[in-house]
Amino acid sequence: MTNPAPWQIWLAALVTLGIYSYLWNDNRLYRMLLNVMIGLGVGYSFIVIWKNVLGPLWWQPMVRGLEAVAHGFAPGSAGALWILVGLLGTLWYFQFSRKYLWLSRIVIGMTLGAGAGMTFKQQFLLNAPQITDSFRPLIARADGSPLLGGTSAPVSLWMSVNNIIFVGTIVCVMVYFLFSFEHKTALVRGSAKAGRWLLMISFGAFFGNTVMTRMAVFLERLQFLVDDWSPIVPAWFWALAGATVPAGVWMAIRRAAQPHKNEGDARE
Amino acid sequence: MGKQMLNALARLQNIDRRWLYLTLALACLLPFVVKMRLPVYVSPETRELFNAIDRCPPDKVVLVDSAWDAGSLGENWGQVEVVFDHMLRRGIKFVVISLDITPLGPQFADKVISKLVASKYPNRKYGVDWVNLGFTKGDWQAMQQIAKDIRRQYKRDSRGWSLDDAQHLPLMQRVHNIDDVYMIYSVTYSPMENWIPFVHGVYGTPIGFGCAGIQSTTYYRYILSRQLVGMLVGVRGAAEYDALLYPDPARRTSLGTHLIVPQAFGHTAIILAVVLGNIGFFAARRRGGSR
Repeated sequence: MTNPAPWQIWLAALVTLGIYSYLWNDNRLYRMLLNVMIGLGVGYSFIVIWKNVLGPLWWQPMVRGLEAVAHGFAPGSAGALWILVGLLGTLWYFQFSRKYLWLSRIVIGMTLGAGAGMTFKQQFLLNAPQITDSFRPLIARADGSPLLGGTSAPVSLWMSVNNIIFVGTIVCVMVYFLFSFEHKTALVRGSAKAGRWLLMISFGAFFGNTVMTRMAVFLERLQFLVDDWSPIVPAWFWALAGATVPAGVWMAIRRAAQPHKNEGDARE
Repeated sequence: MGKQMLNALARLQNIDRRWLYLTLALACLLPFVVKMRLPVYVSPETRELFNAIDRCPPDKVVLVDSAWDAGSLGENWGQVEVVFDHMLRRGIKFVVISLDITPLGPQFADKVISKLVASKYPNRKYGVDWVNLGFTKGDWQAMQQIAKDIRRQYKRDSRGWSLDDAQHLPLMQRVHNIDDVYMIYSVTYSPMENWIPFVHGVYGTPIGFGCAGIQSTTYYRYILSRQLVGMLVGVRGAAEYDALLYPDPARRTSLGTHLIVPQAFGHTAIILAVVLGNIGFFAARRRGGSR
């Protein structure tokens, strides 16, 4: 794998800075680069999907099968049946025809049927172990087994407290989501309130992890700019940046002093 | 507290977002300019994944679903880099696939492996120590096909060699179905949960994930129920795995290790901004009026 040429690094750096120009404000450069990226992604995906999937797994076996049929049903003629899959696939496009819309329903029905069957298996195998795991001994031994009928391992305070928190959290959060009857008693009200707080804590964890991910994306680009791009940047470019950045900061100060405009206004 | 002081503090709520971006950028930039290290504490989910991969028997392979591209490079590069490093060092054979999410996945995996082979493991050979089968479509259908017979989903590898070509791909001559796979390590922004029901649930093959931090909260439950053997969470997971791989900090060179210190600085800046915003909020409330 060869190292990228300087012009490639420059292009990547300018595209990166162009995309990040959105932080200043929505602008045409950002929108243009965004559309270019989407276009490149879609075009590339189409070619790779044909080359790696549709070509070897559908088109080539079908062509070989049709050739075998043409040679008097030679061995391998069954491959010609792949044409039926292609015909079924094209039925999706009748979504665009009011007159023949019903044809697309055939393939939609097949997809829904397969999806429903798959979902049943998926949900069962995904969630059944979750339900089993939620049954935990509140007084547990060090290896996780219960006090009664467990192994000979010593009782673990840490494991027991952990299980109590785990089971308590599940119960409280589930009580919070019981909307079909009024939360009248103090026990139900208290559990529901605790459930809401526990949910808030989990949302906090979600938010923290969200920040972590966004930061990682930015840091990778920053590392590229510092380690790969900045060594090949000529001195005159830094001089130009040194002259324009303070001007930009000055403009930001002036802009901040003006009445605040929200995102929607800025886009308009 | 004086009215003037409250007014000054209340203004903390109205800092222009661009000043925050600039502060954040400078905070993140500092560790790139002034090199420094922070201690890394290894979490249980990282240690479990490390131990699971370390136990791979010599007659089996690890199947790596590396389905990420530039969009999540910051987190996923480091996550595959450290695991590839581990496997190349230990001589664990692995097969790379890229399932369903991005057609660019195989190229990025190749980049990571090429860099490692060039810098640390020049004796490791493509086709003998690892194989990259490339991109394929199909979610659970492809998983089932690969589990039953990998040749029904992949006819050729990413370089165009037939999977039955013993000269170029000797490794693939002993990889036919899930029985030949010791475990699956799926790395992408949001790994497909379907590995769990359709492969682990049916065949019992251990599964490990490498995911973006934002997605990790939904996957922790699978670690508790042992449906996942372990998980690398964002940059943190990569840095922790690197710490297990190289106890000597001077030998750690992965992207995760490079980014973890700037990330700590960035998080500190964000925490400070949250604290300042809250001070402004309470000052405004005490003064009367929301702003």
